Amino acid sequence: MPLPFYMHDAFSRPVGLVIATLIGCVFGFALERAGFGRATVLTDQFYGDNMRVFKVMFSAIVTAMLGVFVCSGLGILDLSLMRIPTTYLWPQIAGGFLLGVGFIVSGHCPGTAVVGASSGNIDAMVAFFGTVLGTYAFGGVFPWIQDFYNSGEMGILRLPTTFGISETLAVIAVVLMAIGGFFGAEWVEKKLAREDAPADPTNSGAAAPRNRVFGIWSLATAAGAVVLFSGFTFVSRPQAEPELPSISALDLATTLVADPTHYFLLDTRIPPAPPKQRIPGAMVLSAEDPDGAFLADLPPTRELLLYGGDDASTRTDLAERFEGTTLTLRGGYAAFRNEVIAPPEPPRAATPDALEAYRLRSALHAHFTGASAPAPTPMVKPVRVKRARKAEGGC
Amino acid sequence: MNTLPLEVTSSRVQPHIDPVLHIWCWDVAAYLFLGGIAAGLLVIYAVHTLRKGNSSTFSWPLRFAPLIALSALSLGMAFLFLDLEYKTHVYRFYFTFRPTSPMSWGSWILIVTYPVGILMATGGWSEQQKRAAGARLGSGSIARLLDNTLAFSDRHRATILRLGIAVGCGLGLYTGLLLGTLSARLQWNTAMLGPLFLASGISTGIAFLLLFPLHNDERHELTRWDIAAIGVELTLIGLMLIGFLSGDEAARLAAWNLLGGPVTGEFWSLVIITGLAVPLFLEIVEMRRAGARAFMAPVLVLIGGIALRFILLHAGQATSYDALLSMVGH
Repeated sequence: MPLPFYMHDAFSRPVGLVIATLIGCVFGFALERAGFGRATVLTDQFYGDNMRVFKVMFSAIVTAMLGVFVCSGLGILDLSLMRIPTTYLWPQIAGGFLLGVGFIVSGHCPGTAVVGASSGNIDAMVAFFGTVLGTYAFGGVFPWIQDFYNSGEMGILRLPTTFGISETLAVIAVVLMAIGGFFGAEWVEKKLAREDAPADPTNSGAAAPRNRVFGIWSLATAAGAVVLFSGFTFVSRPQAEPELPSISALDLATTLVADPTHYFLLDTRIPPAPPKQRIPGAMVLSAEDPDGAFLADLPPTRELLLYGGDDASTRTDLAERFEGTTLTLRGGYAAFRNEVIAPPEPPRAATPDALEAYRLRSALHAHFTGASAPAPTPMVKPVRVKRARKAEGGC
Repeated sequence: MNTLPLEVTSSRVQPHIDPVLHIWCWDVAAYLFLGGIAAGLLVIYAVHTLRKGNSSTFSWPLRFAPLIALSALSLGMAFLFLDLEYKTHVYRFYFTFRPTSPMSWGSWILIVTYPVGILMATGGWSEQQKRAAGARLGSGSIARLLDNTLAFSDRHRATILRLGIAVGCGLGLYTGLLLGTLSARLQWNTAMLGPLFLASGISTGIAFLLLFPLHNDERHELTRWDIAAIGVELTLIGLMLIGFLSGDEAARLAAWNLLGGPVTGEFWSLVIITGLAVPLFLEIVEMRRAGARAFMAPVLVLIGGIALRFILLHAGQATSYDALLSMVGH
């Protein structure tokens, strides 16, 4: 299950930045070739005589959706690791309205403003400057609108869960909607076309490109549906099996040092691991009570932390027995062993953050293993003091 | 009671020095960037004029390049002045000359740049331009001074231009050598910084000129030079990394900073890709396709130039032998 690459630590943050830069270059090039650097193309969308923006954006949405659908169905994409933004209804309506007004007035959105500026369009440069100015102003007024900014939270909304339909049906519905939107957009273009409007090469009346696009979409949808109905299941269905919140091994160790009674620790491995291969103070599931019935008797004054051997415990049945809050440990005991029990490696970068992290890990390592922490760096080397020889004689 | 020697507490064991140097901030990076542009403009103008001869036919941005260079340098020196802790002591740089001090060399190069830049700008005027200037100034002492300066500049035109190349190269090299001589900071401990900053200065100087309307032949020639400068810059960066990688533990730490360490993402995305590779590609396309014009290439080169200085300035201050020793437990 290699996708998404970044969430599976396939590459580091610096490499991610480089890849993002390269993708950004290609994306900008594609936008420019699609004509999105020209304000007239973008504003024609609102006059209805050139719906290129609508068609390209809807194509992108449907293509991405089908890619996710097929990859997830094939088991190569973990959908639960993809970040889906939370819906904040009222601020997002207000923000969308503001963006739309800015879009109509300037003829650009922030991304196309950069593309247009790169093509030497002065209006796009002004729009981009306005975007930067607006962002700066937003930062200035944020304390006053913070409550509104966080209002109307509705959690993570997805079409299947919101409408109570299957994933496949939602995908097919969106594809059909896109195809209908395409035909509808072309109908609108014909109805509202101005006589003086320049001919749009994407709307030349030739059906071949459109048919190719629809054909690829249909094939992808069919492939996804076949994959789904032939026994594969979605890799992750967050709505069916909600994930428990998790913490890292370093956060756990830090909390245990500061407050040893903060957690009930439960090692979920069966058979139980030997005491030396558990987090100090952890409980285990005995052979007499493998389902952890005793958890119902624990007072909810502490949080329950579940961990397995090398992954976060997914035994949600245990969490349901406990009245209080339940968490899991990311990476399981292996993460705790690697990050806390094992002696920390000196950092390669001499940054304050790296040194601070190293000192923290040294202290935690010393606390949980009894080993002494590395001696602090001597600041001054001892210097041999030469004393003047006594002159002979004297008293 | 603190019994550490005064030398230790004043120069090493204090939060401004170890483990991370906090002394040079945005103003020094901006000075290095503007100094590089000034150096590049002087070199480009001098070379272009020596090749073409008659500078009175140049487009106005190229004709005024020496004066633009002096303006950029003055702005940069204003930033440098802001950085000074004891601003009233600045005159002391000019009461001495220390051959072993890069700052002393730099101070004098900065001063020498002004008269050379003015003489470069006052040479090669057409008779019409001289008459127009004379008509505006009348016949006072300023007009006589201008006449004499114009005559002197014309008489020694070739020498002044060659001197301009030398001063421009000195200025560009010095901005890098200033950092390169501070070998206690691991990232700066390389002789490549001087040539690298000079190549980057020439490239950013050209990019600055390309932002303005130039004659087609000038644009074509400057773009060709920029491609060469970017190529040299990429080569020097490659050699610098090879030098670091084949060095001792300290040098390898400096290489790791740019090849997996804390500034890797910024260095490769902002400097290598955005500031060098993409504009190089755009300029090659512009050269090969008639009528094509890469509007964004000079902007990206300027972004890359300022990012290079910010990143190297930061990375150098964040790496020191003291921090290295503390990491390996000595």
